[in-house]
Amino acid sequence: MADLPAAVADTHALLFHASASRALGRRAAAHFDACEHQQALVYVPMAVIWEVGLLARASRINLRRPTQAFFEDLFSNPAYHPFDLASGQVYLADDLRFTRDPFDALVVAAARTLALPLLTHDADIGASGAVPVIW
Amino acid sequence: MPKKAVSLTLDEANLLWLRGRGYGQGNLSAAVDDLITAARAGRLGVPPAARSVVGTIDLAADDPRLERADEAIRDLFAASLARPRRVSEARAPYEPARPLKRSRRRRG
Repeated sequence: MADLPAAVADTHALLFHASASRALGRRAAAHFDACEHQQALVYVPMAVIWEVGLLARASRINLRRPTQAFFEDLFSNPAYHPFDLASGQVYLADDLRFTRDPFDALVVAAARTLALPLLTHDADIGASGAVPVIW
Repeated sequence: MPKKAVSLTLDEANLLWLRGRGYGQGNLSAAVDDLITAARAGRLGVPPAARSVVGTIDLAADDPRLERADEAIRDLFAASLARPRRVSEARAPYEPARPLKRSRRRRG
């Protein structure tokens, strides 16, 4: 069980996975697939949980159940962990100057705090070099 | 109960799990102690079966790549910020204090 690959999920990556979308990148899909078999770990920042809720409220996604129930299903698999927001991440996000998107900044801050790569297709995050990305 | 120093070697995955549970910045010994205490008390139980979320949600048909997701969230915040900021609170009615009634006891 040692040396399980681990990563942090950005919102769109998690939603592509949950919707079985082909938009998910090959390497990101492989990582999520390993999680489904409990052979890899994914950390879900609080900013992602909030953003998913907002997108459901804005009818951009249909979770088919309340947001909380969706995440209870997700976290029933021990490969997925919620990653609590702490003040250190907020300070770190505040220092990131490559984006004005507060959600992106908090997600990157979570990945940096955990020293893990981020599952994302966000071009700004990738170009910033703030964290290694998997897609 | 007295404590005893021991050296631990943990799986990297278990260390990551502890960090994910917020123990990363705190006291690792206390975290391991808590877990063992919970296990001994039978509080950990059997973990429920994992439920996969794959294929259980739908993306908007007109935006399957979520290219307008940021815009949708900005709209939510814009709508919130556009609301007038007015705090209304019911004013406490002012009345001069009434003198306390003296209780009259009947005598006899």
